Amino acid sequence: MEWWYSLPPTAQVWIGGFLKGTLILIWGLLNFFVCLMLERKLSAWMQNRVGPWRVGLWGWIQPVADLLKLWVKEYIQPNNVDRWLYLIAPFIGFTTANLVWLIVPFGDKLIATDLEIGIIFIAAVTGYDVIATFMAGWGSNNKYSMLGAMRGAAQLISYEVTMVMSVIGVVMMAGSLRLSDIVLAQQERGLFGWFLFPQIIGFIVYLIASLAELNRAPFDLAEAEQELVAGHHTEYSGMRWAMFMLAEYIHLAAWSTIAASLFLGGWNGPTLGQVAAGLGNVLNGFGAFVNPVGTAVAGWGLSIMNSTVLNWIAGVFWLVLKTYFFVFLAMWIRWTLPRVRIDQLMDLGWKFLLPVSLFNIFLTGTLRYVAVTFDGLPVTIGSFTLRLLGWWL
Amino acid sequence: MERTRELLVNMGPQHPSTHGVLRLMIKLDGEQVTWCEPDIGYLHRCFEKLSEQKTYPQVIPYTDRTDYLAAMLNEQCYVEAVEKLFGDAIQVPERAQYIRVMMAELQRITSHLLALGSMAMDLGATTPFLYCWRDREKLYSLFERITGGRMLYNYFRIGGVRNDLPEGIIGTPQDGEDKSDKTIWGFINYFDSYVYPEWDALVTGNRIFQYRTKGIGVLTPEQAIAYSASGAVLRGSGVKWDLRKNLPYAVYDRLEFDIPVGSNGDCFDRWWVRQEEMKQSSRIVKQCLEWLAENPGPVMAKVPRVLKPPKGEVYHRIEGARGEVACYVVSDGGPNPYKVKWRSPAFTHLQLMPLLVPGHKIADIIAILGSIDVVLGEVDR
Amino acid sequence: MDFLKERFPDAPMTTHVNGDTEILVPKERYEEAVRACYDAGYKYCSVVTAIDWQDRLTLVASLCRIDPNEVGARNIHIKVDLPREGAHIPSISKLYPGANWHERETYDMYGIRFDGHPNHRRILLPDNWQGGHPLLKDFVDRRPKRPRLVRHRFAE
Repeated sequence: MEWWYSLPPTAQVWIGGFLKGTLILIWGLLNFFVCLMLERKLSAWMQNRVGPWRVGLWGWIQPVADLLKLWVKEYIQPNNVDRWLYLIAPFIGFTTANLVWLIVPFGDKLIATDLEIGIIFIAAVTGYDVIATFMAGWGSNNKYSMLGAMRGAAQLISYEVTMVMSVIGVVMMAGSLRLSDIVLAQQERGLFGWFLFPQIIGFIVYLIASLAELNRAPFDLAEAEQELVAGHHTEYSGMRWAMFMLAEYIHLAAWSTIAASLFLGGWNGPTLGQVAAGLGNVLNGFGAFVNPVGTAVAGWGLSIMNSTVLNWIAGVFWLVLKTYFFVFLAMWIRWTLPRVRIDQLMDLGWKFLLPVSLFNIFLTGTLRYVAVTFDGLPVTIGSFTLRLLGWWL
Repeated sequence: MERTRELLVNMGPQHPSTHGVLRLMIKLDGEQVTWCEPDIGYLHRCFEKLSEQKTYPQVIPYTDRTDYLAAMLNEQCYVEAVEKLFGDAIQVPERAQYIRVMMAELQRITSHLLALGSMAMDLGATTPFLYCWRDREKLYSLFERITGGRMLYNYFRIGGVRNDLPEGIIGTPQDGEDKSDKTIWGFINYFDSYVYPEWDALVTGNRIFQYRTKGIGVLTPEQAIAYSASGAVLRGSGVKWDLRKNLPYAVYDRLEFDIPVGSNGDCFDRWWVRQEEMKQSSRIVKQCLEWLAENPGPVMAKVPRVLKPPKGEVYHRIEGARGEVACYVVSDGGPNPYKVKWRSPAFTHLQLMPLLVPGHKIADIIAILGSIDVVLGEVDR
Repeated sequence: MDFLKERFPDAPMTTHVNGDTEILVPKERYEEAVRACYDAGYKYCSVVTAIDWQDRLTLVASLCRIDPNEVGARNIHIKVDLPREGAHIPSISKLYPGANWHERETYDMYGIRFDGHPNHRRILLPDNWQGGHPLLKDFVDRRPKRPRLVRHRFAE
């Protein structure tokens, strides 16, 4: 790596940035591929059908066929569109979806830019979604698009506030806005150290609010197919429409990754070395005749336990697993529930979720700085929240 | 000085959620609807004019195609109207009557399944729509074995039905889900035990669905009667009027079933009435199956080759899937009907749109349209 | 039915094969007959249609009484004879809003004009259709066999 350090710093920054950007794009597209496939297959299985079947083995390369088709499709552009707005809107959506990947910690020190303002950066970037929706709706010169854009903008702005509020509890417990710090904090807390447990209220609010941010059912009013044909992207075709679709699924994957990092412990999980060592010990416990195998496995496990690359791979594996748990949850909810109406959506966001998330912040703050004993046991935030939920439900 | 204007939006003939080619002209003030008017005629196929040039049996396939989702109910209306014209000259055998009633009730189940499924889909829950098709496919297989057609049948004849039920289609009361597309008992048992609780859990009991439909499109009983609403729309408003009970035809006076009635007249009540009616239909089908299993017999009366009803007029009304289906047949003694007027419930119910929709939001238009349950084939004929 | 016999003693009343009553009233007494039925409880208009006998048209309005406890109540058909050309008759859509579209359809198909109808235009056929009224027995389809293609200008 000497040649790397021999480069002037600006070159390092630029080349490094370029490489990171490319990797991020590739990662985003891979995630899009898997998300789209998962969506179609899951929705099909839930609806008593099989989904894509013929393209590739069991239809697994259907998204490639779709993207190719969209690439070569004709651009049908209505007259009198506001040219710049109409053309740029899809790209804004797509770009900002990918920006979220920048701060996601994929492993110990495996992160594109470890910004100090992690969470706030995500909130800032999400704001562009509103702009993209509105530009698309206005620029299309179509009443339906306009209606869809206005609804979408209102929805996105409302739920942005709620979403950030629901995450503040996690930030308070971790003591830092950096995502890598939050993940490390969860690692330090031990076995059930995930922020899911103490922050369960925040988690539920975050789940609902992020579904609304992503324009996914039951909150997909901006693109409510049955009411407004396709909402703000009615007048787009070909690759321009594909950009919207890409933006939506990459957003989904990115948000699920953030959720996994904030609440489920990110890349924490037993690495290959730890698994091997543990397995070896277990085998050893079975009796002397397994000892050679057991000790060999354990020894191998201990030797690779500190290998950075393998740990990174394990980290990525666990992160992806947790991410796709959220993706599955989002898809499951989408195909089960009907859509809410716009005023009911606003009611839910402002009158219910925001107060609940503020209450969560208050609760976290209080319990963190006031040591309370109840029945002789120290009250942790987790147990208190769970008791509260139990009482409410 | 800025002046805000209302936005005139056209939910045009091509739209994912108007059930067929229906055009709704809507004036919007933001998200609120201030005026709504349907524009129909896109599916007009000149049924009434054509039927004046066909013979009496040749009109039966045309009646199928008016309400194509519940075709045999229309056939029943027309065929019974013509049989009334003949008076005592044609005596329809009892077995044919029971077969007709059973097929009509199975058609009611299919029609309500689709109505519920498409309304759920319009409100965003896509999955129930596919579940409705899963169950309709089973019924289609049954219908194909009985009548030869999956969706459009031409099965009823003036004087009876075309053919008796094939061997083994009735099944035994113990048939389970594995036989649900092979025997009618199998389907009914599957329907009672599986489908109804599924709908309850998935859609009817769903809070979001209830928020979207309760209190929307409220129709008072006086308005319902004044606007000639019938069927589930009328019963959803609290008026217990069902032509199968109040004006019995075929063998409905010998069968036991209840009439579900709503209380508020909103979309949810109309939905709920349809769901309950499916249960009652399956009760009727069970009674018919028991009778049919024990009483063999002819299924077609002796009718002349060329049917020439005596001069006269008759206005025959039946309880169709969507409401009161009626047929005004005028005969001048010749082989062709002099006039066939088809009174379809969906046509009459679409008049409710300008009454119910203003004051609601865009999303509610779809809920109201779905709860009124229109089929454009019937509206435009 | 008896109330009708009292009010219109000289109007021919017959019974159909299925029990419905029909009464043929002169055009001037049509509104009165409808009002009489409305006051007697027949608040439900089932259908409004017309029959084209070769020499005259007959308008039929079919009214019904919705009483949940009554089994076997039959309709009343109020019939009016109208000339084939230039027929016009008062509309009953103020009293029976459900008859609104039925009257529009009768106008569309038979050419009977309804005075006082709030939305008097064609319903199934396009509003500006010039071909006549299809369900008349002497209707001849005079549309050109090949559609004339017109260049469509997108508005604004």
